[in-house]
Amino acid sequence: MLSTPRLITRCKNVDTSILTIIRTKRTKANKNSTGVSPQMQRVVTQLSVMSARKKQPKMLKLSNEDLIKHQTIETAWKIYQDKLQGQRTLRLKKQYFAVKEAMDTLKEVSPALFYEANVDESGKTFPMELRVPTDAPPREIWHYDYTLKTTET
Amino acid sequence: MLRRSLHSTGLKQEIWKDFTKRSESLSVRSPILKQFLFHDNEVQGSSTTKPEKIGPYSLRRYNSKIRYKAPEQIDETFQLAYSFLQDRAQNVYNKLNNVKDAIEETKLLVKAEINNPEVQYNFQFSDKIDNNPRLIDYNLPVYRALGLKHWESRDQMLLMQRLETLHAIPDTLPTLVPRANVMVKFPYSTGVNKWVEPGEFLSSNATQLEPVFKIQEYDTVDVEKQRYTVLIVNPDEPDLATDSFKTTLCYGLQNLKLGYNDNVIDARKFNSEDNVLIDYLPPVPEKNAGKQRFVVWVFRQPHATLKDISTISRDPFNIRQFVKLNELDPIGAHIWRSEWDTNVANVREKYDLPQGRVFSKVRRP
Amino acid sequence: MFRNGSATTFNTSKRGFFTSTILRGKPGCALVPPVHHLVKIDKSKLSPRFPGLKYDKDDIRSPAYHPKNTHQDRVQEHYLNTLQSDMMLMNYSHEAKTEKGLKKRTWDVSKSPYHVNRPLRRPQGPEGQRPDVHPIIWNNIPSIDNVILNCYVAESRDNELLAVSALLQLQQITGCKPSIIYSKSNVPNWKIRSGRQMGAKIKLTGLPMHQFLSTLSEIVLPRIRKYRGIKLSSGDSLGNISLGLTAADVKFFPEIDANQDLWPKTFGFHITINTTAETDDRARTLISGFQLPFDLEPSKKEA
Repeated sequence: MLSTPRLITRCKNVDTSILTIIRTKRTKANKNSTGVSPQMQRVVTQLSVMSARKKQPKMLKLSNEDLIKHQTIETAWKIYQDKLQGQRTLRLKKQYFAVKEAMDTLKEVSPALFYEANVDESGKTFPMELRVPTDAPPREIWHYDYTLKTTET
Repeated sequence: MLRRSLHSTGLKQEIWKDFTKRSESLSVRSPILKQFLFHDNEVQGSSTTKPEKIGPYSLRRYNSKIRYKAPEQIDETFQLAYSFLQDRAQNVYNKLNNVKDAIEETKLLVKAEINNPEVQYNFQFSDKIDNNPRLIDYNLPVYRALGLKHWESRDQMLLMQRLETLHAIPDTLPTLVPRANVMVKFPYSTGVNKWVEPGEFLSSNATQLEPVFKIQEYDTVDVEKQRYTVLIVNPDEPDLATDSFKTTLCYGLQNLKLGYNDNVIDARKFNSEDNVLIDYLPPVPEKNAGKQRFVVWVFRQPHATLKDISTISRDPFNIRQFVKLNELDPIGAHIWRSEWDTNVANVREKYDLPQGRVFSKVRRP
Repeated sequence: MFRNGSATTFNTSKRGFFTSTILRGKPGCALVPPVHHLVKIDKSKLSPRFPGLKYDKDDIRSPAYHPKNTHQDRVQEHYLNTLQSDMMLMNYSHEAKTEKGLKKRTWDVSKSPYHVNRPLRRPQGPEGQRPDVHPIIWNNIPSIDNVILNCYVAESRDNELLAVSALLQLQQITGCKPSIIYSKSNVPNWKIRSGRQMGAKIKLTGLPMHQFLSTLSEIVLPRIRKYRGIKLSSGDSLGNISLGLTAADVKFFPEIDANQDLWPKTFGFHITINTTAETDDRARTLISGFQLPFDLEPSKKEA
């Protein structure tokens, strides 16, 4: 990130006279003499918003007991997430082989249905009615009598 | 969801608080500390203290205790995490009953205790080198596993870097697969009373009496049967006959018995008949002979005794031949350096050694 | 410490394969001394100074520690609970085989001894090398890897301060720290000089990425008039889909919309959604699951 004075010196089309009134470490703030243009003042504000110093939170100092507690919590969380991940993978694997088995059976029983079931659907999109669930769902959760709006041709 | 899965486990089994089968060193010693860890007000002998008001036990000053603010909800979350991990440890202990294989058993014993917060507290906040067996008991596989990890995190790397840059490998032995932490100290009034960092320069005054070793094993070995050999060699002795350098033996110990906790080798630990292979000859570098390396090698012995001890020669000493003959297994090493200084003459006098040579620059033909 | 061996001089200069002249600046031997052990040494851990800097980044004692999983991620949960298994079933193809992509060809060594060690031939036809396409099974279901926002401000060749505004705009929208784009080359006709700030970019992953996607699909895109969806022509054929937002569209982001006075000028940007899908079709199926619309009937727009 560029510091403010450097940025200003790099901008050729900015009036160089304002360079003299940028406040540095050793100059005192003097409200009367700050003749920075509003445009430049805006940039200075924007840069200060993004400065790393303002985003750096204070470092946590934990006592020994709390450090151990924190580490225990982190370990438990990691192990729990691993467990969930394992369960999900297992579920998907079971699902995959169930579909495979069903398709094998279908192939033997009814080749026509098998052909229909095995049509390539690449590029198919999810319907726009699919929503990401929220914590605050609407009062009417499910529209039971919903029919898809056909676009007028 | 975590809470739900915990509560569905049914009966609460408190394996980490049961010390009928488990070692006492798997728990923190101080009852007040225990109270702060588990936020348990019913611990005996501490009825007057109120943890909420006074602040963490580990903070010493009253002011910092007052000022300290714990993260919100940490105790409740910790209890949840603790019982989750404890349940898993219980499963590991249940599995352990059916295991016969020793390696597998060690692995499971580590797995069952490594996440125990009390074990972690003991290990992280107490002395790992001069360990108190009531807190860190290296007889337990979990503390050995933690100790190995701690050693690998710095000291092992430092040792290997120094051995490599000072060419102790391959000048003495071709290589080293480090498995035991070897530490050296010269504890007497003349010496430096600290564990020597590998590669350090020591004055001849400091090294005039024999060193004390500490050999910390992390592998699972048969402590009762296993014997160890320790050699100190100097590969930088000038050899005028060949216009080169030769290796000499400074100190040799054999058939040493070590424990996991009781592993400091000093004069109390061995007797001169059985254990001393060759007496200690302190580093007495000759003037202008340059810096000399003193490499400590520690070996596991395949047998209870060594072969051909009587024929061993101090100068020159062929360490590779000796290791091959006795089928020794190098598990650890250490190195320090010495140079001629004004005190060498005194040390030579003490050990009845002849006055050292003085080398000077000679123009070669 | 090399005293045990006598020093000898070698001619260590290296010669080229086709010429007999000595190659300048190329040593003929390894300059790294051999290592006699197998312990990997991390030099930063050896110094006793600054113990605080030796902790891992995910250790709370490290100054670089940043807490993760601070709150529930509903978009991630939606993916895991709904989309993942649906994606697997939608893309199921019975007894599908891996489709081999075009690869470079080997030379027939038996024809000429000069073919030994020759660089591989380029693949047949006008196309370059292509990766293989594997059938989707339970362990390679596509997911969104990251989202890259690239905001190139062409006007900042005249006024570099606009790049600062663009930077701040991306930071406002995403809540993460963007990096600056510098122009790489001198093009006098376009008044571009190398090394100038020309905008900002940011790579989003994890929670900020999901936050951005849900803001985009639930708030911003529905408010754009006559928005028809992501074009089907978008995509780099490797499963990465791009879309663009104009400067006017950006004003619909709630972070910008809330205080419009502060944003007299906004900047459009490109959004690239990088997925782990191997084809664009699979990537489209995945992205449509996050409520991002696709322009499925593009011919109508032209009519």
